[in-house]
Amino acid sequence: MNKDKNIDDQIREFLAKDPVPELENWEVNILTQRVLARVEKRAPRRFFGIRPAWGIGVVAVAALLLLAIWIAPPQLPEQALMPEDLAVLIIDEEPEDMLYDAISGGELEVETAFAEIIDIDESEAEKIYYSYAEDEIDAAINLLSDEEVENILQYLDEAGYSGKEEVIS
Amino acid sequence: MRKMDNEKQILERAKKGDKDAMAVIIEHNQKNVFALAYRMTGNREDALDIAQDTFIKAIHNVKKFRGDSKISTWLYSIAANVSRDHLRKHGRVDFVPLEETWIKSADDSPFKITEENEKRDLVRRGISTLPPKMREVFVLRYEENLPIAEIAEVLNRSQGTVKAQIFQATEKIRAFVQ
Repeated sequence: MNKDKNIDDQIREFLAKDPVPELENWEVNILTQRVLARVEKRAPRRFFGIRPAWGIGVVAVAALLLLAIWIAPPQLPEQALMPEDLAVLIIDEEPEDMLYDAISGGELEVETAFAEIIDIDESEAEKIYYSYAEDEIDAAINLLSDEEVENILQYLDEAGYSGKEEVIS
Repeated sequence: MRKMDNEKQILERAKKGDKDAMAVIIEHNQKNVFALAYRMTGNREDALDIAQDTFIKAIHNVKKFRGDSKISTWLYSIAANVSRDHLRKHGRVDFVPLEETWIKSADDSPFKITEENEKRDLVRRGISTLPPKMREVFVLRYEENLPIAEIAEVLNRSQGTVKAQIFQATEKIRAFVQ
């Protein structure tokens, strides 16, 4: 017990002697400004109400999708799960929002989303994960199909994700 | 630095898009977020990037944050996730070589100074060998001095898991130091 206590104290002592560098005031100011500037730059993620241009976009995408479904031959289920076939835009943004929030809020890991929820093999999941920059996670999520979004909702529901009620109701 | 009198009020203002309130949240938490990121990566520049990403994600998600936990706990949680992502992508922990951070003390003998520096370096190297999930637990416990319950909340793990990971991490560091 004493030995444990000693190690504990030693670790704290050495960490105290090896302090984390202090940020200068100007660095904190720049950090704050950059964050606020990035927040300003980013467009609101809601389609309806806030930005009418999004509404027009959604209608256009929906029309294109209907056209594509009407023209395209039916796909085999195996093909629908392949990464290169994920480019089906979802019209309902809520699950996408929820997934984005779950990942960026630290409640869900991106690999989990790709590897476990979307049910593609691990090497493919890793390839996809590393092909997206962190800032592009939401762009990657935009590529999910309706079926995958359904799986995600089910997963989040089973995992007890706290925000699910707001979205599913 | 601006004062953060009432956390709930500041949070409500930030949720309404008040930039001053967002700035106050950043200013009051930058030190802790940066410290966690620095211990996770061992690199000042990477830690600054992680801190920036953490706050951007926090501000984007502030409306979803219900305020059940402290703002700092919530931010630690995001920072740990961003740090883990960073390590996954870059897969490294940088080290400032020992001689650049040599502790000098006029009161101690050269032998004692050397011994202390070597041990300190061993602790740092020990931390760098911990897997990210164990490292974040270790840093939150020993660097940030968070109680087990709060670490469990930050990392969304059970208290039992956190205790086990602290034990394992300490054993690994012990093996390095001794």
